[in-house]
Amino acid sequence: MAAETPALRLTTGARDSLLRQCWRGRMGYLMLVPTLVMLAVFMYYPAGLGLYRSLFDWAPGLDAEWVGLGNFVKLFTKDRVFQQSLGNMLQLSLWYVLSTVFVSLFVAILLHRMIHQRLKYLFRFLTILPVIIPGIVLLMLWKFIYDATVGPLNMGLIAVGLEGWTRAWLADPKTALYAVMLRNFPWMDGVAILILLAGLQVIPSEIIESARIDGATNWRILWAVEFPLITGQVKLLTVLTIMWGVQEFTAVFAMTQGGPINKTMVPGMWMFWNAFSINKMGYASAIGVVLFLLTFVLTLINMKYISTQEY
Amino acid sequence: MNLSRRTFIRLTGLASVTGALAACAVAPPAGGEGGEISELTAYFGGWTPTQSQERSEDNPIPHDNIVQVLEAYRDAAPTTTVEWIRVPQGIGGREWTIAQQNAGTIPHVAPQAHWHVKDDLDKNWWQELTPYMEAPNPHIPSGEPGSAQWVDQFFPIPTRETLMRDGYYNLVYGLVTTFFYYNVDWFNELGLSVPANYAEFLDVCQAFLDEGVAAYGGWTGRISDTDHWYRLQLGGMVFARDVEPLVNPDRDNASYEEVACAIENAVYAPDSDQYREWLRLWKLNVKYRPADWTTQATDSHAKFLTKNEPIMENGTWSFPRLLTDPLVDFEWDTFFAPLLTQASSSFVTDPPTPAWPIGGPVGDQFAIATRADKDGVLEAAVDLMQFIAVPDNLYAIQSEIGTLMPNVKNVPVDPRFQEPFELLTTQIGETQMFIYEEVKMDAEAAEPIGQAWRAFLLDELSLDDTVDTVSEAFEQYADRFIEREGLTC
Repeated sequence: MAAETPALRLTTGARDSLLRQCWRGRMGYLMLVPTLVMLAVFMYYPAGLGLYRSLFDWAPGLDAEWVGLGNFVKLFTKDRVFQQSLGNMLQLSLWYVLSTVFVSLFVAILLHRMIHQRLKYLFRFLTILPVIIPGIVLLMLWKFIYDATVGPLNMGLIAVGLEGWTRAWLADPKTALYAVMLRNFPWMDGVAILILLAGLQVIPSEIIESARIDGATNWRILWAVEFPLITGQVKLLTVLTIMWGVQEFTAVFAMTQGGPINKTMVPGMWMFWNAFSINKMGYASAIGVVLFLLTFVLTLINMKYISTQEY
Repeated sequence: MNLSRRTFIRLTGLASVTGALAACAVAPPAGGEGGEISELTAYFGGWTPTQSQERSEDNPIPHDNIVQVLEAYRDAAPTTTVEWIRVPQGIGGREWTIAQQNAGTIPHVAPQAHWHVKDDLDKNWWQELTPYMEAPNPHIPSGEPGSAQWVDQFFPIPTRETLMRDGYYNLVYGLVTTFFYYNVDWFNELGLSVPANYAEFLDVCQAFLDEGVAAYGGWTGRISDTDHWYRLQLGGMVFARDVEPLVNPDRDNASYEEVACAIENAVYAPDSDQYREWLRLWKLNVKYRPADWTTQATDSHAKFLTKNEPIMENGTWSFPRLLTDPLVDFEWDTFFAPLLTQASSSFVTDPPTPAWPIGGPVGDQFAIATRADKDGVLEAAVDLMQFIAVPDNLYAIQSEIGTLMPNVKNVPVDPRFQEPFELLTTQIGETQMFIYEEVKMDAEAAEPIGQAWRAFLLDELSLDDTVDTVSEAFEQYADRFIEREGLTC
């Protein structure tokens, strides 16, 4: 048996050379090779190339000119659209984190506390079901909801006598960003709910029972017991949502293309415009690098300052 | 499973060799010399057959005559195969092109506007077609235009506008222009008549606004392009007296060199009184537009058809839809861009200068990618486009769609378009508009300029700040162009 699992023997050969350890685990490494090759070809190579290209003034077909950090300097000192897009991105990210984590947590807790098992299953099913709808469909739906002439939102406002509140939600510079932000009401994210619900369900019942014996109320149990024990899931969701917010592109592309007058511009959209509208690939790569660094730093901060409790 | 050292080395070696072989297996060139099959790929843009030939609200102009022409071409050139591709709707043409060019997967023949080709000249993306234009079109009978030189098939005035660095890179088969379409019944109901000038136009719009109707519908393009084309015509009329004679004295095609030098020499300057006047006048009509006018490609057609908008500024391509759509149960007509008179501005000529005609060699524009040469199918690509230029073939394609006028001689013109057709083939179209940023400058400059004027129109930027932003983009463009072309102004 031991002969068939050479990877396990790695632990016994701590003093062996690295090469020897690799040889002992050759079967495992061999199995990993295809995945690593694919990752290298399709993830690390393009990312590395992007990093390299960000140091050039480059467009395919033209000679590349080395500009060092020039693209980055321009981004942060001269490019007003990029700076505006960073502000929009931060607002969007903050909202995505708040709405995803809080709404999903609220729904997960409600589901977790439901006593009737069949009803619980039904609600869980209905909550998760929208996950299968392609995102672009929802974006088109919300674009229609916000339509100035025939959109249900304006129609509804007129129906309740609030005609003065109607507007072209996505075309008005004062509302466009909020309209993009507030789409998908009531902001229930099926995947987030599943993750949180799973976290809540694996909390040992003994812990909850002990708290009850000690006289803790439901609210107290939630706040002092359950919530600290699912901070791992909350942290994961926060990281994922930050990444989602920083890399936002699809919603803006589908709903506003960054307009009106850049009010909904985000770095991802600006990167796309630079790359594929005016073909400044080097500059677009620099925006990509900044996005990567932003995601990385925000994730590190999250990992460092939000502690996880174990039971 | 336990692997011996020998088996491990053998397996990894085998995998490496297989991978290397796969990487080295480059497809042979598609085309060929002397009787070999030339495999062309083409994207025909608006000529691409609709997926259904049944007319409906979502499919207002069914068409597939391009297929018949391609079948005829198969008989004429049996050694060439043409694979035409369909690009999903909603894909931005320029973005798609750039992505395909970068990837090296651009079809050999693709739609491409000449103002985009000018931004690509140094990239070696598009084949210069001048030698072919100067040679006979073999599909044209002797004595007909094109039988001596292919270029003779095209109307010279609009076609000359597409010259870049004294060379042809585009094949422009169609001409377009714009009109103000209006709902005659609705005008009559309010006792309104067609506006003869800008002041009257605003009065008409105000009359509708008093009825709670935002009258002035139109097409909002990419922000680097334009919002309503009339803005360019307004600008032309403001600049006609004092600025145009200095920038483009013959009122012919305003060359890129003329425009860049006019900016460099501060002859055409955003902080001039005329530019400020243009912005002021332009802003006057914003309150008469629908609330969502800033949305790209807002569906003005639908609003006009459903009687939400009494005026729609749009192109020749609106004609067939208006003629066939069952929603049209009202009388409609068109008027040309209202004049700008001294009643509206002290900068205009007296008598007023008519607006520049929008459009010209803008429709059915194609270019041949240099990939065709690399694949050895350049001759075949040119031959295909020459075959399409045969008047009967082009007529079959264009007349079925009915949205454009031909830019090729001896192609019958729809009688409805006769008047604009005469104008466009005898006078210069939008390339004389030195103020059309995307056409006369580049997209990199046009974007911030578009953002600035749109912010001004939306009360988000003061006039001075707008002018400052536009000036910065102007200067950067002029520097860029002058350096690239080695120009001395």
